[in-house]
Amino acid sequence: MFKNNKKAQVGETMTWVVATIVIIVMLVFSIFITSAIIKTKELKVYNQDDLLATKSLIGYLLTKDNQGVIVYDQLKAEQDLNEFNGNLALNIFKEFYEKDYGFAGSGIWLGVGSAGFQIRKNKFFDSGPLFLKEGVGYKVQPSVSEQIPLGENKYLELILVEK
Amino acid sequence: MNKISQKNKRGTEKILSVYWFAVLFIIAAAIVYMVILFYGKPYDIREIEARILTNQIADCLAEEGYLKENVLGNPEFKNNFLGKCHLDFNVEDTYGWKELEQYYIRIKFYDFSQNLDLNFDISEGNINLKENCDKKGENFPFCSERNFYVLDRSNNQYTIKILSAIRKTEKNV
Repeated sequence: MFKNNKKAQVGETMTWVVATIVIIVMLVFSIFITSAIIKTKELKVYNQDDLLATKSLIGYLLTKDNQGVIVYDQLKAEQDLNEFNGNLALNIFKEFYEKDYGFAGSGIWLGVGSAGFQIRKNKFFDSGPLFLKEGVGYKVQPSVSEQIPLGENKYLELILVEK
Repeated sequence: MNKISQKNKRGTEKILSVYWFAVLFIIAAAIVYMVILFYGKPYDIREIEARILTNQIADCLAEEGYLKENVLGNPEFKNNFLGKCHLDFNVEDTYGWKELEQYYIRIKFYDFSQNLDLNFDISEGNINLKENCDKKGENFPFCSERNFYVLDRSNNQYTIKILSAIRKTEKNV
């Protein structure tokens, strides 16, 4: 009778010991998670616009080539980037903003398209595999998207995607 | 025999209730510790503050794609930069911040095509903050250096580099 009692007590004690260990492990895990979260306790702002990039874009569109034609008029007439404005765009946007917008190698794209167009690689800016527009939406939501109308449903679009 | 069994049962119940109190105490202590750990640390908003400061400076220097007149090469603008750009570096009088300036800004102008420094730098605030910009850690300032492209009315191209440094470690880290 006593032996049986002892076995039952040992069994019960073992259950509580295991339960205690499980509780302690869960608590330690929770504390670990909390510590990990507070290490990154920064207010992250997901920008819908970037004033400096916008200012650069406006300056870019106003830049004149050797014939005195501004980039905006060139794009409107040609509906695509040419050697002058394409290279200028690379020098401005890749040079200045690649460290802030480095998604998938390069989170910067500038090109001409129509509403709902698919972003595709152009001579100057690679679209990147995750950077393609699907239908009228984006596969990856851009951090900054600036559209400049070029007439007849055409747009110059600057897209910046953060890391 | 029955009496012994009953006594044993009472003893076990007492041990269990002590155990329950111990477990409750451990759980409560862990929850309190996690709450203190999480809410005891402030949010670091210096990145946002630096962005606002940079935007304010950019707005002050250029509008509609062009560099404002009387900015580049104008000593009066340089000497009264804070007033002209509606900036105030005064901070609340805590943690000795009044004696030690918490902000630093530096603006550099470059010729865009040749990447040539035009030697017209504007800087304000605590210059010592700049020295610690490359260091990472709780006691170092947050720094942000951003560029933008701008023209003047003669179609000259410029790069403007704005460095903003904010200390305020006591309230943000």
